[in-house]
Amino acid sequence: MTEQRNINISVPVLTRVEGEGALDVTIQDRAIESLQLRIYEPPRLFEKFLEGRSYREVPDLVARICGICPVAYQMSAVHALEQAFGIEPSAHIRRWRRLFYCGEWLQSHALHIHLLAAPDFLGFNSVTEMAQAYPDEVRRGLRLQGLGNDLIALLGGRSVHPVGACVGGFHRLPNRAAMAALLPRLHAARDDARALVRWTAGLAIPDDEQDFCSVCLQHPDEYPLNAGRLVSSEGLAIGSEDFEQHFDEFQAPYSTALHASLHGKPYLVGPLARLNMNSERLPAAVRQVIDDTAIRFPSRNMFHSIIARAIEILFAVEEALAILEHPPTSAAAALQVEPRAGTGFGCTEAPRGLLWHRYEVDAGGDIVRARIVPPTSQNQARIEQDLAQSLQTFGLDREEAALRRHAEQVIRNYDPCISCATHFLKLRVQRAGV
Amino acid sequence: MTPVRIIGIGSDRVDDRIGWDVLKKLQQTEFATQFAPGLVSFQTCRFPAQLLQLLEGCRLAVLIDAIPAEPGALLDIDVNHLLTCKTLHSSHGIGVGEALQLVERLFEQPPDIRLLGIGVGGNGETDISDERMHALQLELIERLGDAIENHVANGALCKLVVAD
Repeated sequence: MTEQRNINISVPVLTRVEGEGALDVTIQDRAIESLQLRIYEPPRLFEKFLEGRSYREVPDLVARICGICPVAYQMSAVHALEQAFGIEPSAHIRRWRRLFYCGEWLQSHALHIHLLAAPDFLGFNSVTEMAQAYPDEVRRGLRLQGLGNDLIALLGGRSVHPVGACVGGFHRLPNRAAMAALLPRLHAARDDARALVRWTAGLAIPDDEQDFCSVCLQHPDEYPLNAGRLVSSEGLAIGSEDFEQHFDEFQAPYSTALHASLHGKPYLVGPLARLNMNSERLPAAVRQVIDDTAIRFPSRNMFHSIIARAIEILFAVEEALAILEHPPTSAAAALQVEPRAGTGFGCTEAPRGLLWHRYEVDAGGDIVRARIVPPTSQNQARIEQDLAQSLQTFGLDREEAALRRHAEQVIRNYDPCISCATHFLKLRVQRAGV
Repeated sequence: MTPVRIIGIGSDRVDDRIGWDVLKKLQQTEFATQFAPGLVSFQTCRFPAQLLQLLEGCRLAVLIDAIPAEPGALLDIDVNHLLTCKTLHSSHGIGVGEALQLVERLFEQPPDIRLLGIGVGGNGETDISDERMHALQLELIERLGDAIENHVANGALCKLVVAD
């Protein structure tokens, strides 16, 4: 007789993807009948991998979630674990962390603007085509990206999957010679970044205003990187520990990345959301450069995201300069850590937007449960909402190739971790009843 | 930075790790000591966009990568083909081909580039045994040494003499 077996395998959180995506749109009688942005890479299950691991391993493990924004994963994790252990990072550790984060914003934004997004705005199929007509601009992008990588390596030991961060601070602090070597490059980058803001503000930006809710961190007197309260353009203002009371994650049947909603509605995270909510917290020198353009924030046009990224590059350069010209004087690389049982929450601003972590730890500092909500999943529902409106505004009667190009550009505005895949987005348009 | 750079492209995942594995072997076997000091250095490359930084100021770059081709085939890719190909795509921002095209277009003196690889079939794991893979990697290292020596012999690196 066959024995009846009940097997329960519980993976409560379907985790993150980075890679390929696709879009399916059905248009009927000149109206969009269905639209699905599909992320179809297998779940990576990082939250499950973390269970049972020591808190010491977490920064290096979560850095592996993303090759473009490992610093963000490390920073959200260390903040959450420090909160669980009752540790308040010192002022000088906070400054080093801001510098670390500046490197990531620089390299990620420079890569996205020049290699991924700008060809769309200039009518090229790729950056290699664009490099023939705009070699200096591409070189500028590569310089800025290289500088960002070197800033990450200054504190992280290497630029991809850095290993320098730990709960309590860093394993070691940079030496003076390494810091001094970066200063002239940062001074030169200031001119590059200013020119970049002007250049992006001069691109042909589609006129496509939409209503959406911006969500980001907000700090009383800093442009947000790794501290602040969670705010929205609709009046939300909460601590990161209250995230789960307002934000929901749910699975769409066609995507292996979770969708997210705020009070049941899509929302935007990322540079445009940050700028919409925090432009007055930018340094005066950055605000002046914005004022010299015709672009104003808050903006309801997602195509302004490329300009927002350029502005954040300028901010990152200014912030890195301010820190490196007057580096923290304390020699302590890290605070002493005494693990204890508890739950901690960490929320920082990855280049693509809000990255929220929660860890439950036991008395020895081992991870009991982890939850990670990355920006790409938070933006998915908003991307679909945007696509539906933007394609309608663009004109559904257009050729499929034009619709596909426009849809790809809309998706790239969000710089999702699948943005690389959206370069060869497979668009299937079905027309009926025309 | 050395004039000759050997760059292992990939990651630490399954078949994608060939470039990194070969690099590890090169370092373990003290491969560089057969050449003049300061001639050859090694770098890993996780994302092809990094190549633009890694190739700066270099005269000869030998790239090592896993190639979607017949499993177990040892390949010496014609880089000129990559430089003229118009349909290059990658799921990691830009791919090796696009990165090399950018190097060609943006560098004042682009380096000579050799791309050596091992075929790993399509997506996913191949069934190449560990022993076979080890042998293939050693063969690739031999070709690598020949490539550098030929370059030196042809005078492309004439001021740098191969050590005894």
